[in-house]
Amino acid sequence: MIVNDKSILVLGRPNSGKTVFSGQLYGRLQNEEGKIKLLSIPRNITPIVETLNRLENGDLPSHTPSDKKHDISLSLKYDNINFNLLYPDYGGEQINDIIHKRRLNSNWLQMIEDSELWLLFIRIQDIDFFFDLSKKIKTVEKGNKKDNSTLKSLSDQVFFIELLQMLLFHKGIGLKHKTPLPKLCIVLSCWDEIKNRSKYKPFEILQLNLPLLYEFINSKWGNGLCNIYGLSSLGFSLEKKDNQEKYRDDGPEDYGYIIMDDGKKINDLTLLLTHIVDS
Amino acid sequence: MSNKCSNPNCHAPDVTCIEGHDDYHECPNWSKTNIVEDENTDVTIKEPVEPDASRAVSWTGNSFGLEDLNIIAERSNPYLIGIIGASNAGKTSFLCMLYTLLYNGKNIENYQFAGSYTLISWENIANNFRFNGNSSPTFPPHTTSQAGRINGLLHLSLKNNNDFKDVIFTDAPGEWFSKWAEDVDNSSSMGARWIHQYANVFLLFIDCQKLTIESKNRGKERAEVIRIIKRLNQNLGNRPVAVIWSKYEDYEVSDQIEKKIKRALKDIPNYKEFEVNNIPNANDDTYCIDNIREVIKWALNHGNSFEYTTIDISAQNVNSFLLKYRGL
Repeated sequence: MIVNDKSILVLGRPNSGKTVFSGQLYGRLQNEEGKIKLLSIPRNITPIVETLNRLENGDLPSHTPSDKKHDISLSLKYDNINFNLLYPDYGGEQINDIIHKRRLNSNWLQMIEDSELWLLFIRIQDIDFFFDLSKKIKTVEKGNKKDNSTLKSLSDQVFFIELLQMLLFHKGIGLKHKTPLPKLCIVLSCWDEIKNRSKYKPFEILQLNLPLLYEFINSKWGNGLCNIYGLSSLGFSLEKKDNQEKYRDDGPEDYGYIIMDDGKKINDLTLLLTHIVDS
Repeated sequence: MSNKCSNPNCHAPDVTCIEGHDDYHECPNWSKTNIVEDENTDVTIKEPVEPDASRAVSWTGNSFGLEDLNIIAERSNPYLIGIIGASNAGKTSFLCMLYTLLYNGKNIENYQFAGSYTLISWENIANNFRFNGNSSPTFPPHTTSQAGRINGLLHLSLKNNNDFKDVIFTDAPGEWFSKWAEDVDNSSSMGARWIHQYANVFLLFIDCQKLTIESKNRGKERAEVIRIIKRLNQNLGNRPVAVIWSKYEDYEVSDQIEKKIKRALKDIPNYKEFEVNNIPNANDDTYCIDNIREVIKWALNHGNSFEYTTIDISAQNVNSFLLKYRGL
């Protein structure tokens, strides 16, 4: 690997929007749209192609089973900058295991060492909401809130904080480290699902829904070292039949948008990466 | 194969090797307990070992034992908050509520949450106060002095401007302090002795529920509270004590008992009284939340901690030839 390449570590739980974005991105790279060029095609891109094929048909991508250990690396170029997207765990299934067993395998360790930027996908709709006694106690409307039995064993905020703590540990970054950290970018995926989204900027959505994580990120990545974006890779839900037809006729590359940190909506998905690489 | 390191202080492979080896198999301490001796010959055979390419982290997420403190003692002076009081006084509920407030973004003054190595333990405590509307929240289960629920030290890393503080809260059963107040040297008082010796600041919980006029055992409870206060005061020095009248909103302490306790408190050189209800009484009880934050704010700001001061080096006029020497 060329030393002066920027390497971006791509992270996310299963169903976090990571694979859909990657499929949408790859489709655009194949068609040579946008400013990002694919430098070389990885030897095995089956999972990405599978995602793209489903999108072409207006279907949501299926879960990648965790025993298909897919680590993928994409070599890309933007202007004069070469950069790599590193996926230690394309499907996102390994990440739950990592937090529970608290160990990282050699693939992960290598990619953490090589990366100078971490891209973390979070799907707000997947965050468990529960009441606790510090909040106003309202009566729960039926069908709106999740059942206690479906709550995850470790709360979402703690999951992400432990993940970042583990990554920092393996990167050798201490609490009082004054040298620049790997930069962190948070992507709030499935932005189109978020209620009242037009009122808020991405960082406000993160702060409202994951306040402890927000504080943690600020304590370590304050002073402009963290960007928070909104992303809708699909543009809308593919559960509606009309939307599926749109994908079949126009193709997935016509849809999708990002929300920049200042709240501005941009229709070119590749700009997410160019903005990250530029800053 | 024993699967344990010969160094009793090292807990590999659950956490990282204490000597710093990336692969714990390479550590000589590990090899010592993992060599199998063949009885038939004089040759010692090493168990075939698969190279382990995975790496652990140095913490488990559960509450710290005394050895785990090394993880943070290596990088800073831990700030120990000793939480003291008889059983059921509200100590664990207080911790539960503190974490719940932080979890919801309600910071303590300008201290920012900067991480924790005991998040799983915090979550276990806080889960008692979480519910989805179908089930009810409950008070945390009794902190037993037996095994089953690991009592230990809870960690929070807090950032204030550019200053980091590693804060440790003790989560100990009330029985420890009741026993320690009676008999300091008793073997079961060891934990309480340790907390008393090393804490930077104390939170002393007084259970108002046990001291009401209706409570038949209030005399015995009053005596116990005063015993704990007097024991706390021995070798206390100038360390601050936050005296917390716990559950004050729901229970009124008998006047005479309150007077007696306040008189005993006057012997403590540096203390402040707080009234705390751990559970909000109504929707949006900001008073309850603010009281809890006040306690922690005071505890963080008033304890003795190592302060960095610049050393004033004045210019010296020296006539000694040797002292003027500056090398080549």
